[in-house]
Amino acid sequence: MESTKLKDVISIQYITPENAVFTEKEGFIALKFKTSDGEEKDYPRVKLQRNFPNETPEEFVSVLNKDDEEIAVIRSVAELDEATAGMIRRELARKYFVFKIRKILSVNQKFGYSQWKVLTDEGEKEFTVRDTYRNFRKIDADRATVSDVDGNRYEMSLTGLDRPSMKKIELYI
Amino acid sequence: MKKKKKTGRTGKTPAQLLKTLPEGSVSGELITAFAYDLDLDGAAVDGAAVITEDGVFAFEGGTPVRSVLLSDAEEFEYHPLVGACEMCAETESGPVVICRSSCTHADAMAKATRRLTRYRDTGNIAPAEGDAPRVCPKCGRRLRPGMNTCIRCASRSSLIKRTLKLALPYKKWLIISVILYFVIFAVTLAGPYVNRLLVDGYIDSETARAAVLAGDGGAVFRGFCLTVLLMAGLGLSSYLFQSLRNLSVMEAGCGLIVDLRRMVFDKIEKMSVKTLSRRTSGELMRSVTWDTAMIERFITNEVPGLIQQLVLLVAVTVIICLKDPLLALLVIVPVPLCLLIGVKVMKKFRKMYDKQWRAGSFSGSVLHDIFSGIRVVKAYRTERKEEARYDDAITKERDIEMKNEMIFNLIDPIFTFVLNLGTVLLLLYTGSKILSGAMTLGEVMMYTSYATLLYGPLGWMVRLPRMLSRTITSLVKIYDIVDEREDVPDAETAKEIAVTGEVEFDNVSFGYDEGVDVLKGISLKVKPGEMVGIVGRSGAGKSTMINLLMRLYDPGGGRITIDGVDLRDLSQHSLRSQMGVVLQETFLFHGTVYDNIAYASPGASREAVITAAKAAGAHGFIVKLTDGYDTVIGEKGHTLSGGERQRVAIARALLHDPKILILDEATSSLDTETEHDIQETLARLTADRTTFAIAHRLSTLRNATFLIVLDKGKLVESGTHEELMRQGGIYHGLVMAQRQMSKMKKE
Repeated sequence: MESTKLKDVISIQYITPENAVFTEKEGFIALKFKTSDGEEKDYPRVKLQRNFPNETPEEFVSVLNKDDEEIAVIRSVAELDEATAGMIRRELARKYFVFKIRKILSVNQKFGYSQWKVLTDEGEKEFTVRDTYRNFRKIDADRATVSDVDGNRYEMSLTGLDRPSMKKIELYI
Repeated sequence: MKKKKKTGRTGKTPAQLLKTLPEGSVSGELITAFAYDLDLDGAAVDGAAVITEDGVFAFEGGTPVRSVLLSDAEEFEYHPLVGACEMCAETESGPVVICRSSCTHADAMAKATRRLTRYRDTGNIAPAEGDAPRVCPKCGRRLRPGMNTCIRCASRSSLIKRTLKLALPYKKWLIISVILYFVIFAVTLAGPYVNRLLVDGYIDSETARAAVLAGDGGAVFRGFCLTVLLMAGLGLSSYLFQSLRNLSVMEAGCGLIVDLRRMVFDKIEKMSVKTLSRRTSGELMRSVTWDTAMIERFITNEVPGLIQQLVLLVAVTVIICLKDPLLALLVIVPVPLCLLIGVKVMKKFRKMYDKQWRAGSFSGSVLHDIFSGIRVVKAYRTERKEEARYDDAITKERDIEMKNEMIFNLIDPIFTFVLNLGTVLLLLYTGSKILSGAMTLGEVMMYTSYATLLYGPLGWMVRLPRMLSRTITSLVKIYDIVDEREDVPDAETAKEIAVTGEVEFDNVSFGYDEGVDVLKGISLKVKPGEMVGIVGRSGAGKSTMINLLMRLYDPGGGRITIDGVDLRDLSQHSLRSQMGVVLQETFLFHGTVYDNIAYASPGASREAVITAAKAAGAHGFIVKLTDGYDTVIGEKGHTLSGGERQRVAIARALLHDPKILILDEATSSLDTETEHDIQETLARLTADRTTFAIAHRLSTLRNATFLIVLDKGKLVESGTHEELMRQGGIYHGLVMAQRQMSKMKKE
């Protein structure tokens, strides 16, 4: 008998051009989905969830219903048609909000917290980070993120920062 | 780039916020308002949401953009996103997003949504307790949950003052140590002086030499010997006083560290589970051991040290100045230079050693990780991979350490050299004085010794900032724990009552995180002696119900009463002393089997313990242990299997003889037969006690008076087994699925 592979038993339900139609409403997206047994379902609002938010933010994106149950998975956003991909990208940007740091003006350690003053795409920002070593995360050679006490996320390009900025964060890298 | 106003942390009050908006743009009485900073597509915006009796009105840049009326909405919801959050409404025509914000305003948005929902459900417009944001009393900035000190305002001096108060009980010993220090100091100062007498009076003295030549050598020799003896005596007494001083410092230090650890430990034990789960046990352990030690050192060594070194510095400078101001100047010349280097270099050193410490702690945690998972490593034969991981960590640590040592050893000698430059200048100056006959050799030796004495405190002061910064870091961590608000405090009028076991859940809602409710409007009445079976899928909120009943947390809405008394009005001691709990994860402390069973009933008789063990089906295996009930179990002791541990835990709960018994998957690790036996015993025991039992294996609950079924935090079904089976709902489905399973197993 031929051995059974895991993928023969369990299959991932993917979003395809045939089974899914996304539509964009004011600030969110809705989905018309045809299940594998041909049933058509209307979801007035779906949520997106990245399965690998750091490694492949545009691949393996789960589409969830209101109760956070998975409907299907987007294999790759780039494989969708242009209009849908745009919709999905906009929705992802809405859900995963991150400030982009362009320049680090100052980082001051005080009492186990650090006070950051940075220049972001949204203008100058000041924030506080608790337990900086744990909340500063180097993702790869270029990208690093830091999360503040409120839960906001900030992303920076390590190769894109100027030298004075880098000097201020070298301790955490 | 768009210019955006800096969003201050202070924020505006709802009334202030309303004033910034065009008049007449909202209707109804104001309930609350909050600011937000993103538009629906995630671009920065200056937004404000106003909540009134009529609904929610959102404004961006001062112009109204969206509004949802209370009458149109079925539900208002707060959704946490990643790095952002949103407020939504479910309306008849579908879902609507009202506003979005970065997490800066998340807390305000979640609380506003909750308040609106409460207003809609109850008509209550007043803010609930805990809704008002906690702000720093000094600067008015919002305090984050879990943070008690506003870091911007926490002043170093007030922290240090508070700490010094801790030393009060030991002030006797500390004062003795300071006095002894000055005694030692006087002895030390006398040293160079006697030395000078020796040199000028005998060794390098024309008069002494002349006296000896004149045949009066005996007197001179006696004087010489006496001076030498005096020196020896000085040395001896210096050592003696040093020992005495060390003893008194130790006396103070040992007492103080016990006090500090007791203070921190007591506080940690009083913390609620909610607060505790915010910190890792590693963090807490470090605070109890390391941070307290840092503070002890600070009080017993550094504070007296500071006083001593300052006095020493002034005294020596004055002595030298009195003799020759120019000399004093020469000695002091390198000092500012040293301070300059010190401050510059220390900053660098601090960073360097910080990095090294991190690398060390990282390789330590890699090791811990691998050792805890050693069975998995062996099972998958990944020794090589783990070897490489550890190797990587220690290599990195070595590289950093080597680099640091190299830099340190390059810089430190320069530092010492500059400091010693003063001695060279001094020699040059005093040497020339000797040559011109203005100073004697003895005097020169004395001043050189004094100058060297001066360098001690100077070097110490350069170290001061580094030491202070380390102490303050520890101080803040300790006070963060000590000052933590109790979030499930005993009310001042807390009652001690003997309960009969009547439990009522009255419209209870609860969420571990702001805005995400795990339990929604649970109402349930249990009479004394009844057994309630709680059923539901994983994550349905079963264990949360139990946590609330034990008052590890307080409900966010509604109330839980025992014998008609709100849990919040019941003293926690009286509540838990009448409650017995067996959890899924049983924990056995280090100690004998007897100790573990009698854990909550100290002093229980051996007979009682054996009876409890028999009832829990544990006696059988305990008898077989070589040391019986005296067998040491727990982390370092005899290893019990999962089922055995559970039976010991059940025995513990039964011996405690509680009025309310909580069984959270208490028999899940037992085989069906053993479970059945224990069930029978429990059934006989539960006659006069209220029992809450959670089980996935539904047969466990066959003795239950009635069952409740939870689904996504809501109580969806309740009734006896037969009633629920007739209903054909979730419970029916679960029972059928399990029957199917056991049938399949039999086939």
